[in-house]
Amino acid sequence: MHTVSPGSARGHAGALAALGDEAIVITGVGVLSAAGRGLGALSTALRADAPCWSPITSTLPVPRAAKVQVPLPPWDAPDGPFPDDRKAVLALVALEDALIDAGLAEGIPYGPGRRGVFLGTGLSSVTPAELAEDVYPHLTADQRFDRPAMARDLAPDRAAPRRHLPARVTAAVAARVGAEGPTGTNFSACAAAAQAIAEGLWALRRGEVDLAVVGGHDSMIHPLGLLSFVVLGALSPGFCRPFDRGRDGFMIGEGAATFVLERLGDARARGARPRAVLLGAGTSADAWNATAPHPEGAGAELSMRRALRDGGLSADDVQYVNCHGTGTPLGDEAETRAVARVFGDRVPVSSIKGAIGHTIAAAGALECAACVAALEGGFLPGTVGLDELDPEIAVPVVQAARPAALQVVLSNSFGFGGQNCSLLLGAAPPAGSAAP
Amino acid sequence: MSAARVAVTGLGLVCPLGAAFNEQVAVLAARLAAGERALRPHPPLAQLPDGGLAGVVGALDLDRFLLRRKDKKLLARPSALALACAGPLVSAYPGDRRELALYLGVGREPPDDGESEATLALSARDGLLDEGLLAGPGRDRYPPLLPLKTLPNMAPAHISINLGLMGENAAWAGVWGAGLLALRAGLRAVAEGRAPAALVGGADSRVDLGSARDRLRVGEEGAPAEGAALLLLEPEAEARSRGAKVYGWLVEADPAELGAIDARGVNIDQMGDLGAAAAPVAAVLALCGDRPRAVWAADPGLPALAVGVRPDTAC
Repeated sequence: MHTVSPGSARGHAGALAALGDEAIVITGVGVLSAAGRGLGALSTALRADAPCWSPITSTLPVPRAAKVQVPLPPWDAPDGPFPDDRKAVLALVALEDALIDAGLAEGIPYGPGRRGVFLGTGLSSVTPAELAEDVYPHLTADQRFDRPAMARDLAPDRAAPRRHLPARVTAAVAARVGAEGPTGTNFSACAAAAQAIAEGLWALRRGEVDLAVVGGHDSMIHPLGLLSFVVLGALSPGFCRPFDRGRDGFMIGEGAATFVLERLGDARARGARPRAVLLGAGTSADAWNATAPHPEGAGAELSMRRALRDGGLSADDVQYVNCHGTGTPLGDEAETRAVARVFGDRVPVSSIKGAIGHTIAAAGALECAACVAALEGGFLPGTVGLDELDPEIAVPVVQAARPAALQVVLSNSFGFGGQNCSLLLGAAPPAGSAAP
Repeated sequence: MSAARVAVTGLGLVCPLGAAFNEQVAVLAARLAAGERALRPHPPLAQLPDGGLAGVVGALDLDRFLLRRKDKKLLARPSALALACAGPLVSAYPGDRRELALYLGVGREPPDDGESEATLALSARDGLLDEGLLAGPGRDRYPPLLPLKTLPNMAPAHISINLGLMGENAAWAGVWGAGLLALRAGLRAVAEGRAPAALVGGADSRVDLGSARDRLRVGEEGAPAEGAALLLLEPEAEARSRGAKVYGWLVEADPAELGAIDARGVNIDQMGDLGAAAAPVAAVLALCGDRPRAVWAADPGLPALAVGVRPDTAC
């Protein structure tokens, strides 16, 4: 086992110089979000501060959602390979786009045992189709479920048994990329995708794999998925307004983002274009409450500090924090308190959840993609939905997107139950240079 | 950076045969080695064609580990198993719990304990979900905190919340491979210095009707079971310096080099299929053995993973 870390804090350039060809770079990005298909669509929307949600028809008090609107293959149709499983479709489309972006769609020049897959996934939850197929046939006239009849109904051709296998999307992705190396399916709620990306970073860093396909996917815009968030009181009945004085909950979204990670030296050897550097990652737990974040953001602070330590950088090296920023009253305040303790009042922050919604298990991946867009495009994403900054928010919040030359950024993802992850990303090294 | 040698300084096992911690695990291992079986008829599964045998864990000692006893209703079965397994180990750990890492393998999303049935029943019309009914009488009967109960990551979350763990963490989901991935993640985090110590293992419960019949429909073998197993990992040098008992070591392993144990089948005829807890159970039991072993597992459609277990003779 070996590890290559950037070493002590020397800023972005110093970290890249220390890592050299061992730097872990993102060479492929596939994104499906309410902004559209591809990183370009997300980048365009974020630069324009475009709200990407649309009204939805629901009997529940959910007036809008950030739904993927682009045409998708009908793989989740009853006779498709992933019946009743939209998140699988999102994941596999994002995978293809990431492979194309990385120049690996037609073949992968690493041995199968050197390819790993780490994905964050969300609840399969019971859908209307599953109820119709597998549950309601056993509902009796007196509104009870006939359990003996359910037990006798063992038809193997139903969608439910396979839909509920948590690693099924990981298996499909592993099959597509021919991965025979380590694989994993992270289920740390809204931190799942970020934690999966972190695992890919560490697997590459220790030399366990030469290629890691990482990311996350989720879709809960269906009646029982929405009901879960409604009864929790987590959804805004109006608009998602991160950091706003009147914020009252998040807006549900859906999406997927998939990344191809390699070592810089390997990427350059095959002529691939590094899009960003994954410098470090940190995780933590709140140890506080099942339903609420630690009020001072103690776990969030640990997560950010561990990411900085893992990346060998200091808080002074970071120029932007992409907050988890769901738009909930407690969550935004706790997170920004933690940001203030780590970064002071110097580092601008924003949340993209007012634009593309909270994509739950996919959030860490989509926000990592937003950070890649910001690093490549030289801009600070704004905070769609923010009108009047809450005076309790003690960090500089970017309301409208603006140009900025960025070298190092940090992305936060925090999950229900208090599981946290922070990712530290850097700008790609200039083409042809061993180190800037 | 050279990797630290990773010692196992705590063992926890909550399985159908009983609960055991540290030195007690050897007693339980001996009972298994003597052929004792823990499969019993499980009434909720009585109508299944295999007769409804299952490996069910008995009463759990939870109250002394819960900060608020009323939170017990928030614990799905895997969370309860995980907390009962973690409690004694963490209580005895003298280090800083803010830095103690936690990697847990979990199975499919756990079912509730029937709390959602009224909502589902009240929301049906002509065999289909009626969204109007769902938003009306269905919503009124849906417990507000139920969604949190059925998140798989709540098993590690409840350990963190009730026992004060704030270290690096992750919930890895799957079947037999999930617990193995957690073991590997903890091994690497400690070896690489990202965590000074780690609690690693798995928790799963597959004895509810929905899980049990889905197992049959996808052709999984053996009786359904439930359980949890955890290992406390520390760098050997630190463990020795604090005088901790070392039960053995977790190591990188090639199954071809060490005697391999397929986690999926470990004691399956005696305790049933433990799912995400199977690999950690196998690792804990292997630490009571007399030679190094490689515990391996593969989930459907995924490559096999392995971790090495080197027992000390003290266990």
